[in-house]
Amino acid sequence: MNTGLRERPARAGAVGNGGVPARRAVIRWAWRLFRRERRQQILVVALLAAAVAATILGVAAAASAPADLNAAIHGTANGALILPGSDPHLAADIAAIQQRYAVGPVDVIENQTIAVPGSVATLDLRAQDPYGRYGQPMLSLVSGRYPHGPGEVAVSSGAASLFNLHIGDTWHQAGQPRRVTGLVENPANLRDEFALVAPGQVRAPTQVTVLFHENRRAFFGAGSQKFPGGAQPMRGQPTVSNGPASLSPAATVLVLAVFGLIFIGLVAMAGFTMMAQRRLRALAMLAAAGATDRNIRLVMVATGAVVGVAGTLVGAAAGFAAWIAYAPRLQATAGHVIDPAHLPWPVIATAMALAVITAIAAAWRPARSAARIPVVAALSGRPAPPKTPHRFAVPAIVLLAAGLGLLASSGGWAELGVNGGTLGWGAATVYGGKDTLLLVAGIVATAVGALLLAPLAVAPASGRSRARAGRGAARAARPPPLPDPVRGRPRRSQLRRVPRGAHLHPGHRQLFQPPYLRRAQPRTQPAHRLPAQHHRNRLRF
Amino acid sequence: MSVLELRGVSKTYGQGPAEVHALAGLSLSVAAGEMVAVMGPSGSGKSTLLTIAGSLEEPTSGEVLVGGAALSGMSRNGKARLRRRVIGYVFQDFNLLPGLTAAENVALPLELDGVAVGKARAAGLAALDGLGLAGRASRFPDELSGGERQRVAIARALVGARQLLLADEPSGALDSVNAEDVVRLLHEACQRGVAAVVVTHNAQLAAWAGRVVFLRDGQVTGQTTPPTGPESLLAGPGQGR
Repeated sequence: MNTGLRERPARAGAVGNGGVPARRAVIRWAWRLFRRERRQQILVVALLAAAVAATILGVAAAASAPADLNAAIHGTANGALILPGSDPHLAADIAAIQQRYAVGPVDVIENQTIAVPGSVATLDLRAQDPYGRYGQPMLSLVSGRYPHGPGEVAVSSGAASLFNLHIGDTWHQAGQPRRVTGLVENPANLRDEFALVAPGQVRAPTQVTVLFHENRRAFFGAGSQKFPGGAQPMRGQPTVSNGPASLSPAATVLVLAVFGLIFIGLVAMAGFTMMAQRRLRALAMLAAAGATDRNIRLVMVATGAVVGVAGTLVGAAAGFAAWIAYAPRLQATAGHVIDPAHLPWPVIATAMALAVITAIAAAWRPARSAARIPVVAALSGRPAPPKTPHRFAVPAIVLLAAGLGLLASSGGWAELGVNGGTLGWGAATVYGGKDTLLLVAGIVATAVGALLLAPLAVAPASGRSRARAGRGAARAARPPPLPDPVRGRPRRSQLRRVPRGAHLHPGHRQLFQPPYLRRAQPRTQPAHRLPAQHHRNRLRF
Repeated sequence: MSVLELRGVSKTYGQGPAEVHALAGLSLSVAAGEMVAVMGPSGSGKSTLLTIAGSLEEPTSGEVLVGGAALSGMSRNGKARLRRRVIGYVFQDFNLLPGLTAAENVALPLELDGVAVGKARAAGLAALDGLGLAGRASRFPDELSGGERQRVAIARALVGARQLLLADEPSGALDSVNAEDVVRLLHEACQRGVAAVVVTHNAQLAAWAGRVVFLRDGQVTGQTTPPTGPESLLAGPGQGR
């Protein structure tokens, strides 16, 4: 048999840790182990999947639910003036507005309020160019086509059911017949019920809305002076604020997800610790075969990565499926069209990446511990002696204080008021920035600080438990009661006072006692008084 | 030249009243191509001797040289490299990695040493072929019999250019036929120049060794040089031992 292989790694860098081939071999083994032990990973995978699914659903809902009221009433325009329909110089005033306040062309929408026969309700008869420069987002065709000529109309679904209209029907409105060409809606406000006609087909408009891209200086410079034809500016949502930036709903969900992932990470760490314990012997075999500490750590970390990726993929599939199922319901509730694919993808990607990182981080500590256990101890199955856990008092307090400070300086969760800090319309809502970073950092620091501080808070309680246990041990160490001289055995009343196990030989009693009582035992029986053989039996070879 | 040299090696476990001296000033030298059997009662330090020689454990005092290199000044990575390249370890309970096929188990030390997968796999297959296990290369350890597992473990210990083979009761979990096969394989490896230290309780298997070292309480109490071959067992008392 010739098993010699004279070829050695060519690269010097590969000598220490075996380079890529070694990593590949270790990762392959980790993958095989994951497949073999997949049932034992179900809890961690399920927790991660649940967190990712909940985060995706939450982020999607939080990002999609709030209505963009500006888009519902003035589309993409950042300036809008409303002229009374009774303005005798309507065309001239519109031209004046365009000339003085607008940059580029204007979009004109005529509205006429019409009565619904037999009802106190009214309907908006709207003349609007469906392909207008600014008003386009306010219109969407559900079926049929947009009206083109004077005798055509398209109606919203509410208006269609109000007048029992279908595509192809003729609607007689104020004595004028109009053929229904299509069903339309305002995607930004599904509760907006109206009848749409071609531009210029409203005979007596109640009001005329002029949408334009404003010349900011001229517009705000107008101040208290009157706009042409008594036009009034349309009030909308504040979009730019000079106050503290608030967290977007999607980012808020992400922050909550970070909290959830921290706690899932703790559960996962416990799971990976158990896994490392189960694999200890196999890891020792790997070390005996020549694996370095880094290789051994990589086995566990790769398993963590596989678990994280599996949980994330399962969670993402579940989350997106739930979102696709839920989006129509949310659309009906929110009152505006929701595009299921229009999601804050960077936030979702961040959440998914955090889930994978959580699993890897949870596997890191058990991996490091497993790599540090002596090979012989691991092979023989002798557990390493427990070490006193570190109590991170100072870092915990510093982190907690820093976290609270960051939270305080970030402006907290304060939302901007609807009418506060209005600078204009149409501009993109500003979220994030330095304050958001402070907020996220504050939340994470507070959470980690609280986690590190928790054992310190628990320690006094466990100290009291130990003290109680010590008293129990002292009671157990009392001599058994004297037997009844007549019957030759203890009286029943005496037996009731005897602690459980007190009649046993001290050595036997230790076997049946819980560990905390066993720890208390050496005080009553010093080690040096035990037989020498007792010590010899503690180690075996 | 000695492949393995232990100079005054001591190993103490525990402290105070629980202190146990597993090895006490043990010295041993194993040359290339030599097969040394280590015998002794339980607790005499046989396994400790192997783990220290295999760089799996640190001696309390003394010096261990493998291939002329002292283990005491070696980093953990250096020792790992030594286990990949120089030392092959065979355990009583096979210690094959679950989840890896026989071929992958054998090729593992080479892959850990940075040899490309294809070449490592080819060397692994060649090693298995040499032990008559080519047909079982794609089997997982739990699909192999005890004898096959131990032969795979030997193949893993020999693959590459190993110089030192350490076997701790390699036939302890095997029937007599498989045990004989395993020791014969170790003997053949030694004939090719590999130095081997085999811990065993079985005198019949120890008879294959060129030298038998007796341990008691961590010290060498005697060494014998039996006539070559298992037929020495048939020899009368006082002859050769």
